[in-house]
Amino acid sequence: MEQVDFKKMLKDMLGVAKTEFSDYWKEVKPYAEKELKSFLDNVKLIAKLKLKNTINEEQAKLHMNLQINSMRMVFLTIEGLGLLAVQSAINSMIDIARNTVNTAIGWTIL
Amino acid sequence: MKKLVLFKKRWLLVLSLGILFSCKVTLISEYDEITDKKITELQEKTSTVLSQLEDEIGKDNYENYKKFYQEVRADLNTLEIRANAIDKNQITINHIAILKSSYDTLESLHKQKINSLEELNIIKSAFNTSFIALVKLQMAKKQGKTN
Repeated sequence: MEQVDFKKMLKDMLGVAKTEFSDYWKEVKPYAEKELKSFLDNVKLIAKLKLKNTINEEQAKLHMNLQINSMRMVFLTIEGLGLLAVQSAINSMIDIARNTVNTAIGWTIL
Repeated sequence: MKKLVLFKKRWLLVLSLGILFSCKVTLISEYDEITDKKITELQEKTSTVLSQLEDEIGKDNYENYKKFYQEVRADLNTLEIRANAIDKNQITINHIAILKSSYDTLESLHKQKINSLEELNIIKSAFNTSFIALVKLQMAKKQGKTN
């Protein structure tokens, strides 16, 4: 267990997340960082319980599955937040264009 | 005649812009109050059971919780059907599929007995993270923003 560099793992995982969600990374970084840290803490604890034989190998795998599932949920949410951000930006641009055209025409036509 | 052609062209341009600008772009489903309510109910139910398990560490008590797992499966099926009926809702559909897998895993762990508080805390943490992820997206949809 001592051989696992969890700090490096966190850094690498954050690096991948930053690349994948680059367009809106600034907004989601605190959330991603918090959840990845918590994920790694739990992975450390699972390893500790396995080493102490409090849980067997099958239980360790089941616990890991739960943790991985929770991270998949987090990344899906980040993807959703990104889509909402893009959607909001596009609709704001359309609103600007609509207002500009309406002002130019002098009627509320669009 | 020339004026008439110009007039028609202008109206065509206005009509085209109208079509272009009159519709909102939708990349992800809108907020759904019933989905949100069902998620909160499921979270409360799960939280209650995980708290009860705190007092029963090391006990072989799976049989007493069979009903809980049956109810959760029914709740998740209801959520899944609703999520599938909503357009552009793939993220929530995927969320629910993962949650189903997590409850199956919890059930397998429960069948083998939860032997320590540390073990239970890891489980609680995974479910908290999952429900926060679900609720965070629902809230963002409700507010229409990203954070």
